[in-house]
Amino acid sequence: MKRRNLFKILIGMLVIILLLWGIILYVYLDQNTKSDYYGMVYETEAPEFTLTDQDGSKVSLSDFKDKLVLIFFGYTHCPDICPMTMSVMNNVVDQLGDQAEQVQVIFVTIDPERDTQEKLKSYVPYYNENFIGLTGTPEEIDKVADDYNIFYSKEEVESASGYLMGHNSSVLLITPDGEIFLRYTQNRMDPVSIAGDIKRIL
Amino acid sequence: MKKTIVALILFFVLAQFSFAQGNIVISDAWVREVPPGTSMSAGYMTIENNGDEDDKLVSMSSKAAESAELHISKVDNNDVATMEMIEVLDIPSNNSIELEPGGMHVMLIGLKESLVGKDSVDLKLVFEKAGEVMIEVPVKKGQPGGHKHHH
Repeated sequence: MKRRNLFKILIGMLVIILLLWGIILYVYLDQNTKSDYYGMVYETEAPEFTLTDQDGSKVSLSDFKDKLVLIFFGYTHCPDICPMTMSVMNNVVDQLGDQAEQVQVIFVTIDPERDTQEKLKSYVPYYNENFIGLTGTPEEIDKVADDYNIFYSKEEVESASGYLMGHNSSVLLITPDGEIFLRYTQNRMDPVSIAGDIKRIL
Repeated sequence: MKKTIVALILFFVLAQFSFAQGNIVISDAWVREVPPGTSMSAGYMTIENNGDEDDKLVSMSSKAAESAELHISKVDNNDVATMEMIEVLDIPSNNSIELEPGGMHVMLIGLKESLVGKDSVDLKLVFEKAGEVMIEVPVKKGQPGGHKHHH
């Protein structure tokens, strides 16, 4: 009788140990494959938004349900970081060849005061005619930026430029099923590696 | 009257310095081509001081823009990018300073005409010791890679 109980306990312990090992192995392998991405894994549901594009049309995230979206928040008075990032985006699209049709690049201004629809019309298509530029009322922009955890602020500086904007300059990758899956910070702007991530996801 | 004399003295002093620019060498300069209608752009270059005396970049200007300032882009741990103005840039002796994308740059503010299709813009750099250095800076499309154009 006692022996049988001991046996049962031992079997039970073995099962628990095996289960634990399984969980540990699963988590380890899962993290390992994710860390293979060039972008930082972010995994948050992408909030819906509706803003106005450079042609005056209303554009929502849900309009791109079958596409992978690269979204970047910036402003046209930005002489250094934003043009660099827009060039990188164009280069990423170039790397993708035919798959570029499944990707939509979106630039959202965080300076709606100066970046009107007309302003975006001359700015965004210069980098690539398929890119979309979005603006809105300051309240609308505020809401979208907040939903996407994009910090921005007006910086009054002693400069002839009027004012500059401080802003989170990461590019977010939204998968076709609506998840912000990866985040590219300014130190991860290699177009070939970003295109590599996209090819893997598509 | 006093002002005119001061101005005259200043003129001669500055005029003298403007010839002594042999120690400052500017290389790999370029200005970023930006979309038409954009009021700002950035210029990049290497500034080398081959002399035995430290120098300072104190001001700059260009006929292509309302004003020109030296700025530095900074990206913090949260990937928030900001820019700060640099009033005076030290150029130590026998040293070179890089102005490059994502770092220090000459900010051209209030572009007078579109840079698209322009070969170059003029830039005047004023150094404390070397005086005025005039350069023609080629307009280039951003790095890396080429752009697709809207025709």
